[in-house]
Amino acid sequence: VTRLVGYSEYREALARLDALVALATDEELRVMDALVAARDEYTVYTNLSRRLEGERGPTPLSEAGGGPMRGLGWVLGTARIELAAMAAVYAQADDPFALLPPTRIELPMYGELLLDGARMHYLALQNDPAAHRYAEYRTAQVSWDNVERGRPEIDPAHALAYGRRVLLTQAFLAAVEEHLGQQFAEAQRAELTSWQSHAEELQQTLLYKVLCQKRVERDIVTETTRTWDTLGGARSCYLRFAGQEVQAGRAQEGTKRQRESTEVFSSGRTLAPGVAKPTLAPE
Amino acid sequence: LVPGVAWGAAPSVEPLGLNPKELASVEAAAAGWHRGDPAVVIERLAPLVARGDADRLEAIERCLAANAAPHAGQLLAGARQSLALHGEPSRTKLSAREAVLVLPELERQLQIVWQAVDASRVRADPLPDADSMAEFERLLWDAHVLENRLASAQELAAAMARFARAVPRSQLDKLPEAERAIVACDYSAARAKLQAAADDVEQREIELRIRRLGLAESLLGATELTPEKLLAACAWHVDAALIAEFLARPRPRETPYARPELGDPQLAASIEAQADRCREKAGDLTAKAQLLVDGLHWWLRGRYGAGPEVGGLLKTAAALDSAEARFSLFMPAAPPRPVEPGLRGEAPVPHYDRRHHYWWTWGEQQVVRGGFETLHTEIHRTETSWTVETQFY
Repeated sequence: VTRLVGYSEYREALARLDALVALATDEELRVMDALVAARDEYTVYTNLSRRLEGERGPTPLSEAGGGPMRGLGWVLGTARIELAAMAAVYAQADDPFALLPPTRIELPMYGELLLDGARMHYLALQNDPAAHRYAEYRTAQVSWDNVERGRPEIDPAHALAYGRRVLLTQAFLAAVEEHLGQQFAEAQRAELTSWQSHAEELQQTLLYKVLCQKRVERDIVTETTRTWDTLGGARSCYLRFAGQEVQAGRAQEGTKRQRESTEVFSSGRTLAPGVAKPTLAPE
Repeated sequence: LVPGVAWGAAPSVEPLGLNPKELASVEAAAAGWHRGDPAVVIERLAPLVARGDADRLEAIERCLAANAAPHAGQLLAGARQSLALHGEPSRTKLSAREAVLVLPELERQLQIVWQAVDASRVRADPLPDADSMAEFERLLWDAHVLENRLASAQELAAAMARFARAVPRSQLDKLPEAERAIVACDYSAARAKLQAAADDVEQREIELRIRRLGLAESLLGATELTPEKLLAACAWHVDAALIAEFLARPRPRETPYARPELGDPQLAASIEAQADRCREKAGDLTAKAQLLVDGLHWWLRGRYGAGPEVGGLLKTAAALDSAEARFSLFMPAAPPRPVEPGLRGEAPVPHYDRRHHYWWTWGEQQVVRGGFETLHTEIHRTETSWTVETQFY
């Protein structure tokens, strides 16, 4: 995760700006907001997902408006969401969006950016023929040969990327539920639930039917058997999968990457190289 | 066995002038350039160039052009510089042929730096004046960019000296005159000239900071909090520290400052007194303004920074262990002006409207390729910056 441009940069930015919001008076924040709003380079365009709605038109989770937004709240919200998204996929964080809660001056902006991000990822998957091809495996049978060797027609690296993409979508949808769920009308809540269930189904399909992974039953750190939630299980599985690829022939780069990813936001579920392999069981 | 080719026959040579393996290497190098992977460019292209004759080189250039990539010299020069700048120089050996190919390209880049130095308003005489913190900020930014370019150019000149050493002296006479001049150039003199220009820019920067400190002191006297006063609350602290650090640096008696304003023996004491007055007037606003300015600076790096790999989305693997490699980013030289994402005909600013729309493709190189194809993304590298045309659907 450290190799992603934006990870250390947004982390440094938020360390300072969050401290500033805690220290500054309302009057000072007002002047700071005006200063940021006056400068083009801090402009953030919003409602980017609108262009993905296409012929289907708006959904109950769509929003009107959008366009160029200016001010400190937009700057903070953008950084926070970018950083949490990186942690959601490439670091061992159970709830990365909750680790970086929005400050008092950015709540509406954060909510708008978060929902836009969730719509973007969900609608992009919905429009993506490759995602549809993977979804068709939902009812496919998995043989022991598939589990041992993988499916011959599947490029595991490509499927793995889509797994990460769905993981990211799920993390966004979960954060939307957490942050905005209470404010939603019934139709919006129903739509969100439906999107979550589609994403969950696709995640399960990718993980167990396309990549033919076995379910992890044992926590490799504590050596105790436990039930893994799907999100954590998928993330761990993808990290482990990447680790196996690395061991299969790649040099140190991936190992370093994996080591790094386990150090940040570590929640105890580390999958660092060298640790005993988890016990695997067929689905 | 390749259908149609008799067993035991010589390897087939494509009409393009390269055999299939070489062709694949050149195509891989071009693809590496398109997705911003300098390591692959060097690994695949440098060995071919090293053992290629003029005809083979011409064929390589044709193949690169067919793959919408720049010529081999530009590709290799950019790739080697990019990796060196980000703390991970390529382990692929530099050959004499590659050096001869790359040196003219580096010379061209050096000339671009000199043009920028000559055109900069910070180098104008008299030094431009400013009457607002925002205007001072722009001038100081120009000075900062120029200093960075001059520092990079010195690295470039050092690299050129190394490249020139890769060409055996016995081969010099065989080179065309223009290339011979570049290979035989005295690069230590070029570096000294660049260092002199960098010293001049630094002194001009300090002069600007002295002037800005004066403006900051007067702005901090105002009772109403304004954006200008807020900037002054941060600027005085930075300026006073940098001026003091500059003046405290030992300087040989025989090399006085080129800028007469800096030669005043009372200057250091006067700056210290001015800093004390600013500190008193600004109070705790300085700490807050610093948090804002530093935070925004980091935000700009996250928003507009480009790494050397995967279309600017990634830093090199050296970033895992080295703070320096983690810090290195390509940044726009002028304050960017964002454009609406998805507008046709406009180069996107920033390159990635949201980074999380794109980086999920990263993991294995083939994923990135596949992922970007899925996104219908075309990445073109221009001389100075990335432009990315993306349709994210």
